[in-house]
Amino acid sequence: MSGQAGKSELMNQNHQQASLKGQMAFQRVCAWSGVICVTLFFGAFVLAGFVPPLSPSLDAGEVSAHYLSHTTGIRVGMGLMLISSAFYAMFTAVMSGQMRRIPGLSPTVVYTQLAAGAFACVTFLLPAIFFIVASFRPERSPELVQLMNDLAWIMMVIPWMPFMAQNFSFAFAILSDPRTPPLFPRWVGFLNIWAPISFSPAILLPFFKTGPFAWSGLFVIWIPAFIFIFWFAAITRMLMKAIDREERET
Amino acid sequence: MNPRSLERWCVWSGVAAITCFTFGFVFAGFIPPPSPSWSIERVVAYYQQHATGIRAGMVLMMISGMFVPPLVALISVQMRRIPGAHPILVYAQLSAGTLGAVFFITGALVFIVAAYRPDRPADITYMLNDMGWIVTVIPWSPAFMQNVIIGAAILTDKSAQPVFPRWLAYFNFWVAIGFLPGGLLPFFKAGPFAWSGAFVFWLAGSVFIAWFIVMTVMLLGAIRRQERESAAT
Repeated sequence: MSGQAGKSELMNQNHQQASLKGQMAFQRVCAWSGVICVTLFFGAFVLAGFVPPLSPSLDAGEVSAHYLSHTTGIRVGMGLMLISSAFYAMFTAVMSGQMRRIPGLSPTVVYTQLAAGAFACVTFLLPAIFFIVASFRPERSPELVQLMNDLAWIMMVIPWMPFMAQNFSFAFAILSDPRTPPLFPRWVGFLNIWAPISFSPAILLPFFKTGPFAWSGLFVIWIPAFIFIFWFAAITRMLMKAIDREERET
Repeated sequence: MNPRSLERWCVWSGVAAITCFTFGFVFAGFIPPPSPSWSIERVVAYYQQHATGIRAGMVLMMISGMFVPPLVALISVQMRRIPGAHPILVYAQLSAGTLGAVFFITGALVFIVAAYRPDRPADITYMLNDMGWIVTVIPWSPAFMQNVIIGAAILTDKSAQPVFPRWLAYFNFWVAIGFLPGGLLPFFKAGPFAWSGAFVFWLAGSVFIAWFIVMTVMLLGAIRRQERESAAT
């Protein structure tokens, strides 16, 4: 009798361990989604011939010529950008999942991060759709192609607002962790404060067609893009470490 | 930080959202709004004269979107305290509120594009003006569902010391109904159901602002009661 009970307990333990492995694997996929998301996002730029970005000072004829010569690249690239938004949703979810493990953290912070991250997914989808519409009939009148190009670039570059709500709540969670060592190192908290601040000069872009504050300029695209890439890489790495720690602790 | 003071910051985030949103409209010169019956020439002239104000105002309106998620998160967290409120209501409020936040920035984006090059062919500016107004005014559906869910959660609260007073449920239902006339705007270019009309702009705009004010006061009250309860135990 006791042997049989011991056997079923062992099977139960094996089952629990397998299930734990599955849970951890799901979280790791979500963490890797960050790197996948940013690769697809910037891969879209390369395929579309948008590195360096089209300047807002180009006239309608020049914009139209770019769409006529890069039609296929833009369509394929923007398909990738659409896909990147799904990975961002998974990445947001694992951030909230790991934030929940910080003791004493209010659920308000976890929910803010989740809501703002879901909101941010839309900002990956909408510009891609505008770029697709622009390249769908590149033979439209050049003024219309220029209009779609303006809509797409401005939508892609300007909306740092959901990222700020998301990153600030993540920073708050990291910095309020009372333990030593904390779940995430403190510098990741500061990264989440400085990254969205570095995106914020984009609010000036409606006033400029050239220079560092135009949508193709240093402060609006180049610096934010590099910080965005670094942020994704750093957060993915730190989430992987946090998931490893969760596996050790359970 | 004390969880209650964090929650108070989230309430003030809602106040920041509605303030930036309203002032965005004021700076853009959109109060009163241009009527859909305006001629092409008048619309183009309007964007040419107000280009800077529209750019600045609509940037402010986009910023307002940033302040929405903390408020939505807080409403879900307070809803969780209602005994018997199903978690489905808590999550549905969170996702409907998130969807609603998107419309704080999409309409503003279209207005920014219109004001970015006001010297475009007149037809294009005219089209962007239509698109900006319709995108800003018409999306009543996420807000409608969000308010109905908040109301439903409040009505399930049968405790002696409810988290929110029952009238707040009916207030949320009425606000939801106040947004509905927006659905009729595609059929009108003048009158009360046009995007600049009494039901679509003025009524919906007023209930929108009233909702933020009333929810601010009620959430602060709920946080205060929660503080007293935890002090008593």
